[in-house]
Amino acid sequence: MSETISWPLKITACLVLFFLVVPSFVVVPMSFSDSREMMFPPRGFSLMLYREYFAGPEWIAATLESTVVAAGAMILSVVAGVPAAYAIVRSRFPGIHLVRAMVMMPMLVPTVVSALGLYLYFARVGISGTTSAIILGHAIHNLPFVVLVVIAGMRQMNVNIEIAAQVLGASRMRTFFSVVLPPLMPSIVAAALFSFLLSFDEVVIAWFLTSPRALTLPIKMYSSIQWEVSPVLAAISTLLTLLSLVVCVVSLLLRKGEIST
Amino acid sequence: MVSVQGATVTYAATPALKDVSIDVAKGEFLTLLGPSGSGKTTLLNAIAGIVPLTQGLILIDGTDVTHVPLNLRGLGMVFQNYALMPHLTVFENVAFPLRVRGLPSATIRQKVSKALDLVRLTGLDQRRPRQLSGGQQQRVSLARAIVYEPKVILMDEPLGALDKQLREEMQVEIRHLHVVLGTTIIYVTHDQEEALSMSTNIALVSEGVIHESGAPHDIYFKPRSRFAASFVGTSNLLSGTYEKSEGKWATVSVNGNARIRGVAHDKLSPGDPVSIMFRPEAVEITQGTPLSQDLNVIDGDVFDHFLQGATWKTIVAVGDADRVIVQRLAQSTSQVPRNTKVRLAWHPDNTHLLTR
Amino acid sequence: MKLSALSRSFDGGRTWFAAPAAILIAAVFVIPLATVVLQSFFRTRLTLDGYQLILSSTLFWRVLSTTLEITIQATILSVLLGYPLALFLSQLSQRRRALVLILVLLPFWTSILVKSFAFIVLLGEQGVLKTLLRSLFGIELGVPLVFSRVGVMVGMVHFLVPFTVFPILNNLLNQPPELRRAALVMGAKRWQLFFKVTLPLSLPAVAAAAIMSAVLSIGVFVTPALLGGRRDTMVANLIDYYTREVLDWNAAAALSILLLLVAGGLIWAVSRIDRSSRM
Repeated sequence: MSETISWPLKITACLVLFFLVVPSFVVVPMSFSDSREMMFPPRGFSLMLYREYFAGPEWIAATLESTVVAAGAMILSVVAGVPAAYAIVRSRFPGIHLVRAMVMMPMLVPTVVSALGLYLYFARVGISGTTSAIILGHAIHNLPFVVLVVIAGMRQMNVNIEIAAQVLGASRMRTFFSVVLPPLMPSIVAAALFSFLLSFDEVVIAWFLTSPRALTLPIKMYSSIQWEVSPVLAAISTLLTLLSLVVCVVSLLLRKGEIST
Repeated sequence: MVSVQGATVTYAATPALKDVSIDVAKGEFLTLLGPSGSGKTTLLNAIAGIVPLTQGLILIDGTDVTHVPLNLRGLGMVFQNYALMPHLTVFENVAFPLRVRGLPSATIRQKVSKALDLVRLTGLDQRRPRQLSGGQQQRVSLARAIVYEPKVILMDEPLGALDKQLREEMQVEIRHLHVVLGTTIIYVTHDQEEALSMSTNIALVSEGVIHESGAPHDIYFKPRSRFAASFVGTSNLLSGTYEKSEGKWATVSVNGNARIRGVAHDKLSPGDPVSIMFRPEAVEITQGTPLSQDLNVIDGDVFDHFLQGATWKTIVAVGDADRVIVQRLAQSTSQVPRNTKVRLAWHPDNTHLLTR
Repeated sequence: MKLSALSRSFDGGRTWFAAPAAILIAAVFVIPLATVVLQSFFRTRLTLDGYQLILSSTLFWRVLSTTLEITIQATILSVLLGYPLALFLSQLSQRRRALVLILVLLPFWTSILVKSFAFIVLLGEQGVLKTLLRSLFGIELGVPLVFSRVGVMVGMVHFLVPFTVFPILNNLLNQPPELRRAALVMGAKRWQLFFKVTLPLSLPAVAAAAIMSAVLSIGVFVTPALLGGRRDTMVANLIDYYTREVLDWNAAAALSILLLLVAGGLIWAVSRIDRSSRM
């Protein structure tokens, strides 16, 4: 389109964009503040808040817990989600629509409801308050998303390649691992990274399943904001924003790489 | 080698193949020829095992494979869009069926280079498919289909994605491969020139049934159905009524007066409607009386006259509604103006009387 | 190419690949959800006491009306803000659009806690905005911008806009350019083109965006908890209250089912409006 965009539209859109982006970045300068008073603009430059974060055992423990949970949820959701996406795209069995609906359900139900369900059920089964419980809860929460990303990746693939592989003698499993998975890797990696990030930032399920043994970083931050807004949160926020940015950029590069092949 | 018996394939109440039977001899190059949606690809896919039969049998080299899954039938297949694996090199693509069969690396290397040599792609084995041209990719696809020496190779419109020149080159190569390897080939196309030039046998498919099958020259020069006459090459078809038979020819009346003689293939009774079929290149435009009394003669007015490649095409209006197409090699600039009265003549041996 | 005919029949048991996911969903989602349903009817015995408790509580009705109020307002606002952004994006070149989309996606990928913390920093009494207004313009805004309804709305709209942009953008990009050209050739001015062609064609997408917004908003937990005041409690916070403070699991479950029904009802209502407006 060679027409120029009308300036009222340009201004409105840019204002909305500004609104969307500013919060993520306003904490960055504040994280380098040299005083415990949260001021803007900060007076001096110092890494004291970062040191406070890295030195604090509770913060590091929470970060570690989040990492373990996110890694576990990522692995589970990808191992279940990738073959499920394959089945959804390639299967001609009428029941597959039911499977698809089931897999998408966690997205449609308010998180607080599934979180309550997990809490009640895990209490009954006896694993409430453990890291594994949170891993399972997050895996379910991320699954629909992983499936959607991989389905989008599969739609780019030519089904004849799989047919050819089978006519040439490969079994179904062999076809899946040797012919379908390799070109699908960029989508799978993107889905995995997003799953990790989603879990790392998740609050509601973690809140319902939390216990002193299983305390994730978001939960610690949540309690911290509710009780007393500590400036160290600025440092943590900056690091988390950095993590988000890295995942975002990497997945975009992967997508570009995929389009060019 | 391949025997299809009573094959029926129905997709959601619409029949794609209706009780089709055909036998393919060993070493034959059979082309399934027909328009889009005729069922020719469905038949090929049924033989491959990609499409299950609703009814019927498929035998390959005497074994009933109707219920054998597609990866165990031991056939070769080439697709229109190549279906090469984008993440593998040319070598690995061709080696794929051998690796699946667990052959040792040394054997694989030997067979792959032999296959690549046959399709004239030596030296390109480390490239990726996206680095190759369409024609080269199709050759990799061919190499992959021959490398494990299957008994039958199926080809689904493999040259459809290539431009005309490349297509003609590849036609020659595929024919050459057939001669060298002697493998049975079943080929699907909608291009009748392709079918005529490459096959040992052609089966004409339309609306889920095989109308006719036979050697290319038989189908071209002696078609048995209107479909064959009009789909393969161009035909003139005039409607007439059978009168009687004399010697090797039958006489048919057109529009009540003109009498045309031709070869009848079926039993006919006086009064039966027949289609009179003759090729445009069999007709001559004469200005005076014909030289031989045997020739069929019809008068008409020139409707159009133009140059098409290496031939002059003349369209002559005959009777009330019929048009006859005449095609002669262009050896001179002969102008035949519109509405000129002309006399057309052709030999009864080149005239076929069709009833279906 | 006859791809659809081919892929239609080519299957061969691929359905089994979905088995791990199906088992996971059944065990970790369906059963817990069933547990909530069961718990909503069970105290020490099968009973409707939980529902009775909730439905007769004034607190519940107040919280429900707050939730619906906030949901509707946030949905309207997020669509109003998302539409111009989508329109702008649809008129950019592909390259620029990809770059700007990264900016739109960024809040989507930022932790809700980081965003909430950032808004507290921005909108608090000693926060960035008020400090700037005070020092640069000498304006003193008496209204609390955070820990209040304003705070909740800001947080929710910020969360929702990326979700509304995408369906609308998708629709705008798929509108055939010939329609636009035909209208312009026939003499339509820019704003006429928008109101008579672009906007009407985009309404189904707007409805979809609104439904998505509403469903996302109605179950929010973190934003009202961190950015809202005492009067901004939403249903999700109430469920948390009954679970952790009152320890009445039966009531909490009943509340959850009611929330599901309200969310379902909302979807149904909006889709009815959408369908009737199209007739």
